[in-house]
Amino acid sequence: MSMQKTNIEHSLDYDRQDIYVYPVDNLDYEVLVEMNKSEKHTHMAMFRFFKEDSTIGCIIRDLLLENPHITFAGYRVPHPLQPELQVQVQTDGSISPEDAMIEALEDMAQMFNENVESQFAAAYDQKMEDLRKSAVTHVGDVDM
Amino acid sequence: MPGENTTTFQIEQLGDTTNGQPNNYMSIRLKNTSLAVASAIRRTILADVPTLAVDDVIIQENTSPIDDEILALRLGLIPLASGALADNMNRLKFTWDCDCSSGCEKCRYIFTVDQESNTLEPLSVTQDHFQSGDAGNSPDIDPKPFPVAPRVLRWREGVDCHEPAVSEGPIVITKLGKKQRLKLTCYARKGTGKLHAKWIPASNIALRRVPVIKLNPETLTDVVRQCPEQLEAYAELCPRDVFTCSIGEGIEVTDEAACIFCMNCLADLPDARLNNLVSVDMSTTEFILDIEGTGALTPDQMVQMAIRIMHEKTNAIKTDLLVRLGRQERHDSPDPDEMNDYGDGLDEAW
Ligand code: SF4
Ligand SMILES: [Zn+2]
Repeated sequence: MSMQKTNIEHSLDYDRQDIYVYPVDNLDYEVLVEMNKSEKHTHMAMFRFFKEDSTIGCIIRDLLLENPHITFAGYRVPHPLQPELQVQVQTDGSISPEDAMIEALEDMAQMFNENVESQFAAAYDQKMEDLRKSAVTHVGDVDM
Repeated sequence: MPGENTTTFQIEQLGDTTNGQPNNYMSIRLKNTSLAVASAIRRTILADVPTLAVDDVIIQENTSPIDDEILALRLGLIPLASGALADNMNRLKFTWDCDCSSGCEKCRYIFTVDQESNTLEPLSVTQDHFQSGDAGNSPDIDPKPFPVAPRVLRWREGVDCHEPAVSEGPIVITKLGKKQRLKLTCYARKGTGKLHAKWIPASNIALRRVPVIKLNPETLTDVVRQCPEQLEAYAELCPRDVFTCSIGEGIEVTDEAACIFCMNCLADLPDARLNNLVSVDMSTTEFILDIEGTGALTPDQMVQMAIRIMHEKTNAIKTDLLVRLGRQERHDSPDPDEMNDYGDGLDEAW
């Protein structure tokens, strides 16, 4: 752009978030995950999740290991300054690594679905209700 | 099957909610879950739950003793109430998702401070002097952001609850001597803890394992028969009074949750016959999450936002993997032009 930048505009011209945050409006061009099939093993693949870390790595690993057809699953973050998560998957051949990964991701989405959120909201409302009741009893005592 | 273990929550403790104050503290028991999920909620609150914080400061006049840079740093660290983001995270956009070139009311919230001292007494400029007018600020941002007063939670010894939060008075930004003036404009923006710690909504999150303490009935029978006099001393071994000793009856586990895994009850026992009397384990399906907020968001908002973010993130990754594998067309990503018209409906695409 040929527009002359003021100081304020200039200070906005940063891209510090680019290493961590998915740009919402051009997800089309953003690679979130990449799969590399192993050349040495037939049923092995390395998944690279960009801009992710142990937060999802640990869950994905656990879910993969719950699958009886998985013979190996492990994750690593190559370097703390590198916004990337690598998950290595090996299966026994009855399922492909990518299918196992998609299954794990589906299960993971289920773990955080609306029901979980509304259960939390219900538990919170319940607690608030309990507190309100006990507060009312307490005030009544004082009045008497 | 993993689909069947859905995490359930039980609120153990809440901070002070009387006198209309939002609470700052919550202790949650997560049941039927795994360490990975509990930790993911903790990490998401720290890294990915968005809040508002002062990000740019335009200093028009500063004759105060504090340098501009230090002032800007202090302003950035003041927690701003960000309840407007709780139900719809896209009520305010990230700067980099907004199509304006220099900031607009969709991606920032403006505060101004203008104070001048006319007395010999030093004038404290505090967070209470933040002013946010309608000019430049969108009325959609509701409830309005404001700097939250710090409240300190005190732990009362012996009683397992937090005392009501005590206000420590407003945060002092600087002090002004006679004829000194501070005039500045703060641009508060949405951000996440991954970019700067000032955007982290929680000041303290602790994930604890739940103790499982079991008495071995056979050993207990033997001990009661052979050396009941040892039991009282044995109960005394525990620094957290987990056990209660009743004469003749033996010993009972009365306050399991208080255990701190010090393992005093397993090591250096005064009598070899007490070996194997109790077993101390950690639950693998139950965890306790203690959240202490800065005031930017309440702990329940943080947890809900964290769950929502994890859900959206996982779906985005799954879709992307399917697209990379050529099994799905990318059709769900909205057209960039269309998106601007539906700014508010975008919360799904956080
Ligand atoms: S581990 Fe420590 S705190 Fe826990 S029951 Fe044993 S002595 Fe008590
Ligand atoms: Zn904007």
